[in-house]
Amino acid sequence: MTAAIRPERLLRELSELWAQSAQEPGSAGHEVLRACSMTLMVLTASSPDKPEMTETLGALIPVYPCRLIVIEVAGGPERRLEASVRAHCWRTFGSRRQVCIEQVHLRAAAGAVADLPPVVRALTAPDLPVVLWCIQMDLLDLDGAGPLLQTAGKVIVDSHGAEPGAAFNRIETLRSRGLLVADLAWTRLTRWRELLAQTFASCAGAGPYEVEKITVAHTGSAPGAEALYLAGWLRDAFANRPACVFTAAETPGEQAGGGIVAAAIEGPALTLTLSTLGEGGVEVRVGESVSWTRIEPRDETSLLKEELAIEGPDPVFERALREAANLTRQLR
Amino acid sequence: MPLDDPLRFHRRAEPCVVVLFGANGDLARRKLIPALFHMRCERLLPPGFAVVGNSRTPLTDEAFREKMRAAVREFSADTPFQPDHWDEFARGLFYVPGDSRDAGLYQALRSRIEEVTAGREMPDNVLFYLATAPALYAPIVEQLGRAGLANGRGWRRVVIEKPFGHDTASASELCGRVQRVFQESEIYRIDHYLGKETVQNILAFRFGNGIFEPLWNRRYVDHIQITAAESIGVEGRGAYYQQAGALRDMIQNHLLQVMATVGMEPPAAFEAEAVRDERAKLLRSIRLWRPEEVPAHAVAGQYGPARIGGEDVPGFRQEPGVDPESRTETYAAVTFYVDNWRWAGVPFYLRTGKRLARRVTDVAIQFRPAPHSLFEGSGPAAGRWIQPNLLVLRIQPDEGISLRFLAKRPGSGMKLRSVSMDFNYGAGFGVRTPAAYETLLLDAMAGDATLYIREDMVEASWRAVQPVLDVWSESEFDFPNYPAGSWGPPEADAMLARSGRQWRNP
Repeated sequence: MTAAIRPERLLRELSELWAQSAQEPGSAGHEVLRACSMTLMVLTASSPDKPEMTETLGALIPVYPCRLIVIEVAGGPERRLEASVRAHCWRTFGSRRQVCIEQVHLRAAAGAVADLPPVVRALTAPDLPVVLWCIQMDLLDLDGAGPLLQTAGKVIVDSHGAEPGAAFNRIETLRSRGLLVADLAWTRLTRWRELLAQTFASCAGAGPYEVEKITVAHTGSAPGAEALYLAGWLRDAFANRPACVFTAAETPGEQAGGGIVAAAIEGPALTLTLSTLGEGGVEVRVGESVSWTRIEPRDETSLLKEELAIEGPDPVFERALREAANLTRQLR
Repeated sequence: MPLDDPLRFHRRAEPCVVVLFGANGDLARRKLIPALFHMRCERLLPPGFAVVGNSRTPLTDEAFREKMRAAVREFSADTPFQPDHWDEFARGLFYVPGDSRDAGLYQALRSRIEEVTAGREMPDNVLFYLATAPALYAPIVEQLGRAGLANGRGWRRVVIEKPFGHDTASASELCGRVQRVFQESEIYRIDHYLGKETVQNILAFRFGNGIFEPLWNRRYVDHIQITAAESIGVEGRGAYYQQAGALRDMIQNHLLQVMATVGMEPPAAFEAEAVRDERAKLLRSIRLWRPEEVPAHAVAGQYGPARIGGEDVPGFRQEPGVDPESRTETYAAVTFYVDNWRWAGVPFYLRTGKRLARRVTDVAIQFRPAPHSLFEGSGPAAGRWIQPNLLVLRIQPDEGISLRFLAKRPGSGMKLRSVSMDFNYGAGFGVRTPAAYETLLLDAMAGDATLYIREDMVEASWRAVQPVLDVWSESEFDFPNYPAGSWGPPEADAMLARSGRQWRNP
């Protein structure tokens, strides 16, 4: 344990890792390829060695080889910092060559978070995108978290289960600082939105589109972030800003859309409803016509892959966020 | 549409029925049905999507589904079989047996298409896919026309596999017969090389980056080598291959399309006609050899027997189904020049062959050396460790891009050595690359012809190889002239050596 972290020493340790792996017995003809397409920072209050985290990162890094900087916030107000480095390696299908990425694990007491930005700035891979995944939203409120977030170009949060008004405010605050922000609660809706869009496109014909009412049925007593995002997205899509109705409903099983039970679009010429049936099944009802399809629940890895594929602004999300925040205020 | 989100939503095929001629054949089993199934797993197929298969073998829908299930399991080694997805996909598979030369078949197909589109609440969009022997392409299309199947309330498209003819005249005749039934915009001539991710990446590399295109011309490029080498022999295709040969089988289509992709001018937009216009212009700019020029610019080869790794490997003439006196070339190397401002005087060396040293397809852009040698051991007289810059676009296997440049060797003095900067597709992206047929099928169903071959491209590429075909058909070769497991006949080395160049060993 050290009271201070010297980035140049960590970088030297990383270099030694590669030199060492090239000299390991049996490495001849089985070269190690060091891959890096971005810096991914993970800000978490729990250990990166927890199985769920290991599993998520293990599935993510072959798709997005990166310099991984895990910042584990553990402890109270003391200014304690620790650091270690390691490599993650895997073999690509059909190849004898190992692909490796490097991980830096920074363990900081809450009181030391303010000391991290200069360390992190020195450790990010040069000239490549920097993305920060903040696993627990309340870490955004730590002293010194602001400058740390500013070291990234994009911040990924997850407002699932959080109080939506507060979550949307936090996201708006980050955006006002010039950061690109993604919310996995929004990402969780992609399959739902895609199915709604396809069904609508196949039955609505050419515009203009008249929609009078949008209904979102959700689990729990009040709509969560996902329900508000879905309603906000639909409301934004139609020029006449149709009315939104939220209804609490029983869930028939595991939800693919983070607590969405049903969504309906109603207009004079069209009524379209998607309703979950449990175990990924979804009933698609257009007027009197009924069909069925599946929307598989998505794990965190799948959501992160989708977000990491988007490097620039996401205007559809930004508009949906604005409408969702408006709806939240109206519901109060 | 108001609910679109192009940043996140997958591009999907338009709802349609695919009528697959040759549904019981090798291509359908190995490539097409597995590709469609993967598209289903990736949610790229629209609801209701259906395939109506046809071949002469009498099969029920159920038996066809079972055969296709077995094919998907056998030929989808890169992804696990997903039974849930299969059950849903299989419900959309139907089969109509019959001889494609029999007019009655087309009435049966019409009834089945109507039944399927009504039962699955589909619009009347039909994609005809001809995965049959090439001799059947024109007869099938003409039967479709006579049966009224080439028109309907929705769209009609026809996908035709290569070869598009066997020379300039037959290609032109085939184009004419197909165009009498379908409009050119409805005809999708497939060259699966253009669907390969790494071939598409050539466009991204050239036109998505700002630093390479300024070097991409006669001023900086010395020559370009395009290699498609196979380590295997004809593998049961002896009878077909004997009729085709390496020049027709690979260079006339795949390699000339790759060459067009490497050499074309930037299109004004990434749209089908704009991209195809530029490819076609490049192909039309290829210099046509006079008969007396052919021997200096084209080399034919045929592999003989050899012992590789302790195993006896037969020569081409010893392969099953091959005439023991066959004069068919299993190796072809051709020098092409493109007569335009960008490429004047830059040779494009294209080579392909069976039973070569290893399986590799790549494009190598050899740059000119630095104009003045400052350093000890560099410059044109330097040894093999000191080479001019080389950019290699690896199409398969080990897909990626590498750039060779000179660097100072550690230590005192200024001694240089070539080193390689390497990008590996698998390591850089780590996702499953869609098979070429998945990309191309999706494009055809979405009405995007960017990666398909237009009539003028077919004709231009036949014209480019026709002089070589004509001369070779009249020539006596001393075959076999290269042993299996080598890099081809010595005459090919001599072809480059005459201009002071040499083939790479990729």
